[in-house]
Amino acid sequence: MKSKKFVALLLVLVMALTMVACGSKSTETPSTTAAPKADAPAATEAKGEVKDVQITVFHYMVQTTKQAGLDAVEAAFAAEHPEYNITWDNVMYNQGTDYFPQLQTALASGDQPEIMMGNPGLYPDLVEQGYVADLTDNAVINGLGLPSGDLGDVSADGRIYGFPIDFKTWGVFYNKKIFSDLGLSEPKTYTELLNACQTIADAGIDPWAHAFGDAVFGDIEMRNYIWTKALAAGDNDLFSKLMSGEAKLADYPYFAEGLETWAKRLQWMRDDAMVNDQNAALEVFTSGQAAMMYFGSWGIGDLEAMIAGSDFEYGFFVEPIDDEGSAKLNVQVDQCFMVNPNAENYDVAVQFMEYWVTEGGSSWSAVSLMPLLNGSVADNAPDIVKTLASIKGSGNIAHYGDFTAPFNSQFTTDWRTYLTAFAESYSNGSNQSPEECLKAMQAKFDQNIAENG
Amino acid sequence: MKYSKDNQLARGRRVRQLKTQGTNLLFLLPAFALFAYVVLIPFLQGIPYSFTNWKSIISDKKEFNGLHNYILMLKNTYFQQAFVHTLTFTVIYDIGANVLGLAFALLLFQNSKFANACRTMMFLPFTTALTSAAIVWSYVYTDVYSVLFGAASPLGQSSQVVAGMAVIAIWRDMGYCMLIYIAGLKAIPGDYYEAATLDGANTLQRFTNVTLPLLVPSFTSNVTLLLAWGLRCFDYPMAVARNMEAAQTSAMFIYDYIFGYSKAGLGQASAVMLTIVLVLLTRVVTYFFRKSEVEA
Repeated sequence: MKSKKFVALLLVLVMALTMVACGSKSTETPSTTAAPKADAPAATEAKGEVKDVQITVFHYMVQTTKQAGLDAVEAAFAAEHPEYNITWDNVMYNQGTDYFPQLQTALASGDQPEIMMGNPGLYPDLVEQGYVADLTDNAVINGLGLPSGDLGDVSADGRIYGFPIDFKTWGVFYNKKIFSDLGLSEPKTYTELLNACQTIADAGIDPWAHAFGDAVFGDIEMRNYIWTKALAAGDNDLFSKLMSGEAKLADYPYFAEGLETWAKRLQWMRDDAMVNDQNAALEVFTSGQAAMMYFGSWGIGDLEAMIAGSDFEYGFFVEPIDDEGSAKLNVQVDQCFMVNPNAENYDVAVQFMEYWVTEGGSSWSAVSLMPLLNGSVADNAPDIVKTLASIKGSGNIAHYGDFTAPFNSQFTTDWRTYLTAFAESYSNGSNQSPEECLKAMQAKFDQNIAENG
Repeated sequence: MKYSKDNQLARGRRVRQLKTQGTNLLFLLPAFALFAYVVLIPFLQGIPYSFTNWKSIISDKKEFNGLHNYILMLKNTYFQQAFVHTLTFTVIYDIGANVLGLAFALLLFQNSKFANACRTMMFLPFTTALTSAAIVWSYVYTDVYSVLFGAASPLGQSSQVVAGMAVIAIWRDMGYCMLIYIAGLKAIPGDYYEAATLDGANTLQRFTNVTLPLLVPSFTSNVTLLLAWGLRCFDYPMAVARNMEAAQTSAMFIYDYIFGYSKAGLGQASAVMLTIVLVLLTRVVTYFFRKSEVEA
């Protein structure tokens, strides 16, 4: 009996000590969240001392090439700044599932990461709560001479809150060999695209590899139509009006038209279309099982890694959205980083980001193969990346940053969910009409708005 | 004199009983303290937020708004749908895992090297993480199920996704149920079966009249535990059906509202309502099973 009691008491003691240890962490937090000391770097340089610095970077770059790119630019910055002994803490979460929840939880519990990836327009809470530095007067950003769209993507309410690094776009990646064997060329009109799909299907090859298991794919397949038509119509406040309830989806004819257009090519769906994620669909595409994949430039690095050593060749074209040649290359700032003014090493973080958007960009681009916003591309980048950079440079684009505000996270989720459901209806033969899809989506939007009241 | 001696003996028994109970409570205390620290206290602390208009968890701004959140969420058809998905998942999962767990327990409860090996194999899936199990099964569905049956993966079809996730959960947890049932079967005295056989009972009659009634404590444990696990289902849809409305469960709904959409007050109200339903359902199920329990 005595030994039982002793064991029980021991367990209680261990538990109590564990809790005290856990609890004491929060009391230590304030000291790690002290306001930045603006004169710290200068002081250490003057003494010739090496300052120990930890930079925490919260990001959602799930692609391995981008993670390697981040490591490369961090290493390059560290080499340029021997006055710092930097410990990098790169914290990665998936944007579609847990990035923002994890970031918010970290901030709410007292952590103060130096750098946070994301478009500030998507994360208004961070801006409102003072976790994001106002960079409107940052000389380096202003010196980049970026167009309004690029700056719009890193702004909220007219103020700049992020460092824009590179851009992303999307369109149709195609298997050059299949196209060549079937005598097909890059379609210039939507009718030509549908005819190409039919020719490929008649040859016993699946025209498309889809990845609707990832929510973003329904979204990017519709963006080209919506963004291009909306910006052409001058509806730059489209998303803010839909979120406030000032306008309804039915007020904009291009939503129904876009769905109708999309539905025409959703007739060619493989059995795995609804469950494939990006990598699974890429495997289908690169193995030659499907001739085309609607895909984004963010994964070019991973695609190149996947086909390294093989004779697989791919091309790219902007998906035609009609027979009048209205389609434009969609552009959105991809990697964009906010800096936390409450973080301990805020100054070094700003220095690092200023380095990244200038001379450090080449280290990033050489590994990630991403096209930089200033138009430069690494020498080792595939031709397609160079082509994309030159199209962006021409200005004949539809830029997300030219909208007054982006959809917030709830509207983005709903938009994607209902587009995925629309695609699913074409995989199971229930063929939802555009009106049905928009009605269901609008009902959800109305619910969101009612909850905001 | 005799009365005094009896009194002393009774008091001694009570003291010993109290000491035993005290020791037992001390053993329970660490687990309870941990549970209270990471689950109970945070949950209780969260209840007041459900009566506020709290938006982002990184904001301190919140004002009392009474029952507004509860009324809004009760009227919210998407929250209701999420609950229906959760309940459907739980029913399929709970019944499936228990029926299969019992079936395998009956097959494997005798001691033999083969049975031991099979039990280990059956229990192994329970040691895998929920998300890992879900991801492995997403490949089973596309690369095996689709090839064998010529049908699309249920995880990509709104009408089948809940059942598809329940199958994954059944596969993972039926081994656990099996072990509990095996323990229950081993606790049934062999005399009962001998007596039943002497009375002319056949195999089915022995099963329904001896095994099942004496296994009720195992049913109580398994059914209520799986009921609670099912109603909290989060990992499976998060891992394999994140963007399907038909797969959204109550737990996902709450997670999105609190952390994703910056509607923490509404999400907290939903969490409180889900907890109340969970407690009530568990209580009702436990009550009915306890009522059916017989002593061996």
